[in-house]
Amino acid sequence: MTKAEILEKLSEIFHEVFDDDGIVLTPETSADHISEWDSFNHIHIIVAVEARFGVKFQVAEVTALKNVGDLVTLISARLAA
Amino acid sequence: MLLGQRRFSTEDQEHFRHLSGDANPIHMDPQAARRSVFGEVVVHGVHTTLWALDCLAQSELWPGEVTALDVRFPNPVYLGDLVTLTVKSQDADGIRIRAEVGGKLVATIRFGRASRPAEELSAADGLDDLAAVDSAKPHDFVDFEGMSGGVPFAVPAEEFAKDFPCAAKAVGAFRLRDIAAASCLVGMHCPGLRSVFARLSLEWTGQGQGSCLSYRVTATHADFNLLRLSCQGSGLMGEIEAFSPPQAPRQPGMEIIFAAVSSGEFASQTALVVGGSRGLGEVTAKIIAAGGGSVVITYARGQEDAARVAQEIQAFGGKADIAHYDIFGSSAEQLAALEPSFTHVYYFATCHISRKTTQVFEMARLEEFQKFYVAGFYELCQGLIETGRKGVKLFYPSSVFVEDRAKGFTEYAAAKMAGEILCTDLDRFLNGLSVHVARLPRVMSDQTYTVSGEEIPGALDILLPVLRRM
Repeated sequence: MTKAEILEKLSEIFHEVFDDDGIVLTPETSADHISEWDSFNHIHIIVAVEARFGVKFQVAEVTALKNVGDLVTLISARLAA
Repeated sequence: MLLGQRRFSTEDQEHFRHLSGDANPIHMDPQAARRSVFGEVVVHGVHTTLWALDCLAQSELWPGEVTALDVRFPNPVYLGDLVTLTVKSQDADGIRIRAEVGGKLVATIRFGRASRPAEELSAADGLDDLAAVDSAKPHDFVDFEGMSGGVPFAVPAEEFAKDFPCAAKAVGAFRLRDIAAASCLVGMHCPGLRSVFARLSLEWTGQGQGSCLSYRVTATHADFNLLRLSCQGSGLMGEIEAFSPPQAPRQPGMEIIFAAVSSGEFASQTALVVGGSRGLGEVTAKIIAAGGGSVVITYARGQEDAARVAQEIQAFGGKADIAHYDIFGSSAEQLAALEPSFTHVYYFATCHISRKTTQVFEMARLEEFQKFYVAGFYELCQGLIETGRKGVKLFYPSSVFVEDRAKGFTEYAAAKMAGEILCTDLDRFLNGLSVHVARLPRVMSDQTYTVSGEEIPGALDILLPVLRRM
């Protein structure tokens, strides 16, 4: 799966979790850009990502993420493993 | 389109406890809720869901047939919050409802059609044969996998028709009872206390004769304290996701504190620890007492907690007493009843800090913080002077958040900054008191622990060097 495809799937998850179809994700998008993206909802996103992509993460990996680009890279690495 | 608006009251909570059987203290008991990950009493998420279904069923937007629901709970609803339901979209897949409080999303609710006909679902379930008795509850989170059992219904289905008449007519009162039982499942059975509903995804089956909601844990995710459960009731089945946050952290016991503190290093102190029943105040009281000082621990609401801390100190031969002190009352009157010769006063009075909001700034929150971090501290200083206590050293805990902070702490940091300014001027202009300020980092307490069990430094390591400088 290409990074662009991962980003597209991620967008769907963000639309569902934040109930906002207007969210446009770029690799630079971070919690500063989405008002409801806090630590609790971050876990909601990660859990949805795990289910959608069939991967598993550890807390340390996902708390270190700075933006959507980092998350895409992490998913991509996990899918390739 | 606006579908409904309401505030949930204590009576509503009590009534839903009766209907669902979910008496989880995070919904009922303000003291217990203080120790929970949300910090205050929260509304049953399933209650919000049933109310939304009832609102939809009596509106002109009712799609005619609903055989499935999918709900996410990204944020809690606190008691007294004004909850607003709006219809977000409607199409062939169903209807999406947004529940929010002051612009903050608290639930996304989709009512739609099941993926398969009810008869097929019933045949494919596999939860029929479960005994309506919970299997033994495991100690370790990962061992929850495979746990199964049943949640007996708390009341006859007809009772739901009284409270949610339109929903009961539209989907059957027995299904509302099933949905309510999911609340009891998560809150009381599995994973039980402290649990937080994350998602509920259900599809209607044919009407069965079951007397309980059967469940089985299908997956655990220990890193995030997340459980997935399958469930089946008398007219539906589906999946539940729930977080089971770790127990609120206990502050270190006297054994550990004794080992860290030098014998007699605080022996000259007679200290008043305002808000010493828990958190940083609790650790401060223990440190002073372990170093030979004498402490009076005050509480506003947590008398039992204060007594527990004092007993723990006394059991190790330390000197501790407790007293009620309310920062909203007259400081001079309350102080007059206490020990006359305090040498030190430590001020840890606080409200619940981490309450989520979508707005960068809310005046009401700043005002609430200022009552604790500015006005309450000033009143205490005034009271000390009025009751003739001169030469007292005061400690004011500020926060590193005044320099750099996580999202959602704007008002908190602003109030602490205002508190710092007050402290500077009290020190300059108020004769007879000296005020010491330290910017403390985020330390582990029941104010800071999270659903995911993130690691945060302990209070002892942070406070001991600070107290030694007093």
